[in-house]
Amino acid sequence: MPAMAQNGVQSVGVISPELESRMAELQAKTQEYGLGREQFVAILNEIGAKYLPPQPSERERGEFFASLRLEELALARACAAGHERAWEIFMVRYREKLYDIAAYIAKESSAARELADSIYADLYGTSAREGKRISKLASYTGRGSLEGWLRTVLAQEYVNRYRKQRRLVSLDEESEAGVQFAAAEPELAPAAHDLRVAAATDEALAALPAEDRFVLASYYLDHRTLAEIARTLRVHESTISRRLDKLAKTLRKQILATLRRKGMSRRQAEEALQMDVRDLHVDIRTCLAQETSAKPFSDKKAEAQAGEG
Amino acid sequence: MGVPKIVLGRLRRASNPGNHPGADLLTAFAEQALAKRERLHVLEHLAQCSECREIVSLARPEIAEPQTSLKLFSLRSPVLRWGALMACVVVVGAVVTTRHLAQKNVETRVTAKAPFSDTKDASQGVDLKTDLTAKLQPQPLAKQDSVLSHGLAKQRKEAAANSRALAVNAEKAGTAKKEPLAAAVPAAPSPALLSKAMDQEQQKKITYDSLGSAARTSDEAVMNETVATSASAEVADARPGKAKDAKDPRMKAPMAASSGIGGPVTANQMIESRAELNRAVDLTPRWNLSSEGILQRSFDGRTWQAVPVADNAIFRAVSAVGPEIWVGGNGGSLYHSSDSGQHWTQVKPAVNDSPLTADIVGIEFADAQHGKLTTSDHETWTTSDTGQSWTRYK
Repeated sequence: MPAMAQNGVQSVGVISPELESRMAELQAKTQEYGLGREQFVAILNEIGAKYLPPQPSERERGEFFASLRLEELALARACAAGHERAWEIFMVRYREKLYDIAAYIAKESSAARELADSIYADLYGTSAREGKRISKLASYTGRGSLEGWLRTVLAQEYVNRYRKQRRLVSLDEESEAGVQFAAAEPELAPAAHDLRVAAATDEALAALPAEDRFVLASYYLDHRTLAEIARTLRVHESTISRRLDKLAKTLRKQILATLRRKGMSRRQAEEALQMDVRDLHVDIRTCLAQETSAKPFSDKKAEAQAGEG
Repeated sequence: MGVPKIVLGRLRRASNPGNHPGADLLTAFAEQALAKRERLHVLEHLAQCSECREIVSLARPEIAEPQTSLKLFSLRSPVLRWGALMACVVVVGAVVTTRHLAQKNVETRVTAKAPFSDTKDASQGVDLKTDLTAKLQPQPLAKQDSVLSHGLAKQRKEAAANSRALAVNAEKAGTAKKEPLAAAVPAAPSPALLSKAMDQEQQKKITYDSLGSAARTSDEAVMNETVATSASAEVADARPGKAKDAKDPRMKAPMAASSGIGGPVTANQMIESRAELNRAVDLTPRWNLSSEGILQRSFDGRTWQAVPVADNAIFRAVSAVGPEIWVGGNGGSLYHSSDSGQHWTQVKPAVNDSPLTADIVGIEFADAQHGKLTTSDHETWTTSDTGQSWTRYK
């Protein structure tokens, strides 16, 4: 495929017969959207070069191109190229959906409209480079459905906005929300046996498959429900429930085994694992000092004053 | 069992996600469209990056995709398999036993003696009819069923009592009224007829008519039953020359109760057929299109099942009016099913030999015949004969 990418338009004949037949089916569509065959082949070459491994086998290449949403890709790229007809079709198909998805993500009508409008502007392309407007649709590669891609783009925008907003929260708001009163994370040097437990835990976690770590993080860190995780991985929620149970047991067993290998007795290992290491770090003196401190938020206030000044 | 707190602490600290995957990769991951190698790569990132997990979670479609929960037979453990088998055996056994006992019970009740006089029967019949009318109208179907079956049992008793009284009268009078008398006995509504009738209202009507007729005198009963319910008359006609049986009502009544078209059918069976009908009504499927343009069907609104219609078709619009399903999409592809999606026929809309080639983005059918298509090039195509002919509007 890289050869195709390098040859660009000249490599039309190299496309597999399967892709040829799919392109023949699409020919009427691409023409309707205002996209020439050679242009479209160049786009496919570019996508193949981006995602296929350096020396792809014939099968890999075939499977990859078969998995692409060619019709939606043609539509998106034609829109990005500014073809009027393609835009009309895109609007008919996705305008309503865009607002629906934004409403689902933002959960509030004005925020949803704002989110959808901003994405809509990005899709159309407001910024210009070398006299050409840059449309976000040019980054769609047909790897998933166009609707799914729009969902993801909206979700990304929403998360980015949330992050920006968090940076701009005023000290008063932060204070009202109770953020400033949260206990600071202790950064004390951990005890030697803590280090051993941490190392054993890291080892056990590293040995887990990525999907298991994803399940653990989603459930315990993000507090997703079993049903939500199951829907993401397209399995039944009881499968996730069983997997979580099994993971908890396996992790415990492996950490204990590692600790015993490192010289702890069974009882010591169990005690070390049961102890909440965060509690061990609590420094009562520091906590009491924080309570009596004259200016607990002095740094932030100083920053705020400096900002105002 | 939860994981030790240290695990959560280390899991949180282990985040070194590197470059975030693009929207296209996250979409493909969510839609299970990635190759194994890429999927592992994305999962590896997601396991460490809470932001991308948040994005994937937010971007998840509102409607559940078909889940593997539909694999009902994926009972891997032998214990589960045998357990399920045993449960099935127990349930089937219980159903068969209950049905058998209930059947016996109904037959016993029918053969029981009912010492009512004609006048008493008449007044009771009217009361029963009024009572049933009052009870059946506002109550749910399950309750109606029990009332109905109770009414039928009573009615059979009355019919048996009528026949006994009539037989005695006929003997006393010495007239040749034995044929109509015999006809009067099976004039009680046959449960078989009721179980065959799919319309609940029709069932009620037959029941009311026959309840009324059971309360009348013998001659009136014969005439009215013959006119009002021809089905009952058919049952009566099917047993000609049996007038002498009317002399022994104890023999006649059970026969009348159990005889019917297609063999003996009990009130219990009738109730079961009604329950099946109710279940059929509850199982009306819902239709939906996935983001990939695949037609989906759901019976409970939670799990969705892909329905195969045609290869390579990407659908954009669906319309369902009862069992009539229309689904359309790319390149003017339009399919119609008149049996709730069991069989599909491709419909090729065309006006003056000019076929519809644009994408179908909207389908609205008011009934089986009249419908409207909206296309991506802002055309509207209408039909009033189930898609045989079309009219195009721009």
